[in-house]
Amino acid sequence: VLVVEGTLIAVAVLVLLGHSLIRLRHERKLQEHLVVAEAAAMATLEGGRPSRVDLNPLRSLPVSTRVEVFRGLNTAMRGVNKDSVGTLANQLGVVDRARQLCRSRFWWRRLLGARLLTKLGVGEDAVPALLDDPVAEVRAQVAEWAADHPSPELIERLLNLLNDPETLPRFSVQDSLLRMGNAVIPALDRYIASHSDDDNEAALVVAIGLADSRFLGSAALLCKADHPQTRALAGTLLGAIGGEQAVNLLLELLDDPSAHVRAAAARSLGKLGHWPAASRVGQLLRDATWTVRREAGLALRGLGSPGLLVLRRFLRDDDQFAADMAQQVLDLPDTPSRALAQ
Amino acid sequence: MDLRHVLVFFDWVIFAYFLLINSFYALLLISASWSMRRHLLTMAHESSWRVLGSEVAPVVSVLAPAFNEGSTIAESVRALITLHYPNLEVVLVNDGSTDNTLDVLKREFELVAIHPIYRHDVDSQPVNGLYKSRVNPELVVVDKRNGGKADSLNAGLNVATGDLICAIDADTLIEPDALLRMVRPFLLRDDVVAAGGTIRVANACEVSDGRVIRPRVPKRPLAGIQVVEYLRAFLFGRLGWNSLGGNLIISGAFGLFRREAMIAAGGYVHDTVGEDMELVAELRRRGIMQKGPHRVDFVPDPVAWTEVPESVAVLGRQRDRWHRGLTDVLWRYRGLFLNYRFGALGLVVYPYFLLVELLSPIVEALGLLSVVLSIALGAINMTFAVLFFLVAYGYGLLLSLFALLLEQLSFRRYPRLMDRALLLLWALAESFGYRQLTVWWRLRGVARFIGKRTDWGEMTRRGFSSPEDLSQIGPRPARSNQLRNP
Repeated sequence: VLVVEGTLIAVAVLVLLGHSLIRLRHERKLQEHLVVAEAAAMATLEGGRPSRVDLNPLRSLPVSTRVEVFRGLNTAMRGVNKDSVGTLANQLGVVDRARQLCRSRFWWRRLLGARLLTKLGVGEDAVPALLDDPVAEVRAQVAEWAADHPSPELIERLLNLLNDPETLPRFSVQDSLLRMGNAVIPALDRYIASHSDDDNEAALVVAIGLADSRFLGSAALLCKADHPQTRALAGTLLGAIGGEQAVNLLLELLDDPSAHVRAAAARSLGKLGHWPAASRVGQLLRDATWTVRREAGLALRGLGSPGLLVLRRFLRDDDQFAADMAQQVLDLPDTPSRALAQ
Repeated sequence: MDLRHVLVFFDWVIFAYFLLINSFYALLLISASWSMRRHLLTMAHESSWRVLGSEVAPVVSVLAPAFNEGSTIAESVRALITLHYPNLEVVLVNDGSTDNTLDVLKREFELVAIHPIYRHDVDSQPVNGLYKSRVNPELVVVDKRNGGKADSLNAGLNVATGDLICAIDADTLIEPDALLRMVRPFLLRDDVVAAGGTIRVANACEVSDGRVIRPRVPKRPLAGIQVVEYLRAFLFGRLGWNSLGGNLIISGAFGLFRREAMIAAGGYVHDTVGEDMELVAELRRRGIMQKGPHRVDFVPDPVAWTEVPESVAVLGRQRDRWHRGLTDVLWRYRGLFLNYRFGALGLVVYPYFLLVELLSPIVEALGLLSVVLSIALGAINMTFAVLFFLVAYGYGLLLSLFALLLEQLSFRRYPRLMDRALLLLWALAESFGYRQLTVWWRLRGVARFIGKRTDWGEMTRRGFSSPEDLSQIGPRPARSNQLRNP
């Protein structure tokens, strides 16, 4: 046992030291390649074509190293610049390698392929097929890729993933749909209208972010949903949309039996700055639930002078909870952004 | 049966225990390697900036208790409010400081007093004042009567509004992207109730503006050995539990929790020195009982840095307190032991913490005594005893080396060859004196638990070094309860 243990210790020490040295050498070399790749990328971005001489050092590298070099390039670029980097990656065989990875039977390779193609902004022929991948991380990555490729077909497929059993793909899909913006609205509205209350929570979060008046009909219907969380989200959506009909519905929601819904309705009215509702919202300062009182106070503050008047009136209210909340909200400092807005 | 036979029998019991715990360590090591591989494959090329720009990221409230931190508090708070995370709230709790902590905060962040009402979800000492910042709307300051760290966290919990609560020590140095990494388990699974990350040793590192800018391995043995110890505890100890039934400890220096679950659990309890572990145990127990979220995940990414004791006396008090805390929590939750209703928690995790973490110093001490006696009485062969000790300590060294290897193959936070050589040196040195001292301190912890001691013991810190003042490090006092269990 001692001999085996001693051997293992010796091997571990050797691996530790050996790996350190190899890694240092590798990183130094990679840095050199990265400088060449950046020069080539810059030449491409400036409108010219990188010369063969520029690209030769990169072509001579193994594909895996070329992939690694492209990881190091700034991937925050968008539009024409991103296309140019994609072209360069294509010339160097990186895109082909990423496509191959997307077809691998190992999930981590498919994930790597999808991530590379996301960074390079290409891959229409390889990535969408992975939307049905059995691994959640891969599906989430494809959703991320899709944000830059908002085709009607992809949007429909993403919407079907809003109720993915795993959390990560749901998060990624919501995020991508929000990033896609206007292109999503008609399909999302149809989706909300055709699904039951419980299945609509993730879709409503996206609709709130998109804040488009085309969701008004769906939001009005969902204000009467059985599930309180759905009604609360519908109330928030109405606050994002605005308009007379939305305000009327929100006033009805102020009397909802669920505290979540009342709080959301008050918040929405404050956000809309609908000052005629100040008195109604003020009544919620006497609500039994802290969250509702808090949201009502903040909403009144959002209503400007009429809301502040109501808050001051409540300072002398018989209900100590209401008076306390009014006092706290009145004490809140004006932040620089708020002061500028005023 | 004479004494010799008794001793031989006892030595065999010790030997069986040795085999059992080392088999479990091997299992943890395999599990940690597997989890690390999966984590690295998943994280390869991932852009965490995606979450940063997302409107749908959950709101995180960072709770930072502070006691007499006037000299560093402004820097610490600035580091917190500039963390890379989209929906962030920082709740700084001034735990009855007697220095100028509150004045510094008022001046630096233009605090405005607001009417001090808050939701009373969990118990805490009375709040003297609530403040909002005029320049940083995400900052809330709670000024309260002194009550210790657990009490401060409870006060912060009452005021926080985030879906997720990040509990830290005010002087923990947090990586800028720590929250982006830590929130991941909550985005991955619905059943995660808490997540912990790797805490690293900040001694000897270069620190600037509340951030570690150049990680270094300390040249002083006591701090250096603790670097190895922390790497082993986190990278193979905690990570290994991810696939073996989940963790029972999250470091108090940095942990992320679901707020609703924390409130349902009653927040932190005040009458224990192991409040971090107690909270995790309660979250898991309650989650399983109520069929709610109960998974506790560990993220191997280095997310925070903490200063470790550099004096034997302070370190001894810290380890004694940790072991008292462990003993207390295991006693409080004794109903979990081998209770099949709690699944892996009752059948694997709890027995491990009881038989290995709690009892190992007792068994190790008794084993040493018994072997010495056996040799004296000629009950066992001297050569066998020496070989046994070599195997036992060699195995400990092997585990440390694997932890170093895991670090090197994953995060490589110590890129200099000099630092890696130092790590090797401290791994080798650990078995000579340090390990025996930790056995003694842990035994003292058990004894003091039995004697019902509940004090934290005084702790002192050296303070962090910036690139400018590396040569001018002076001692600074610290609150008594900030050195956390890894």
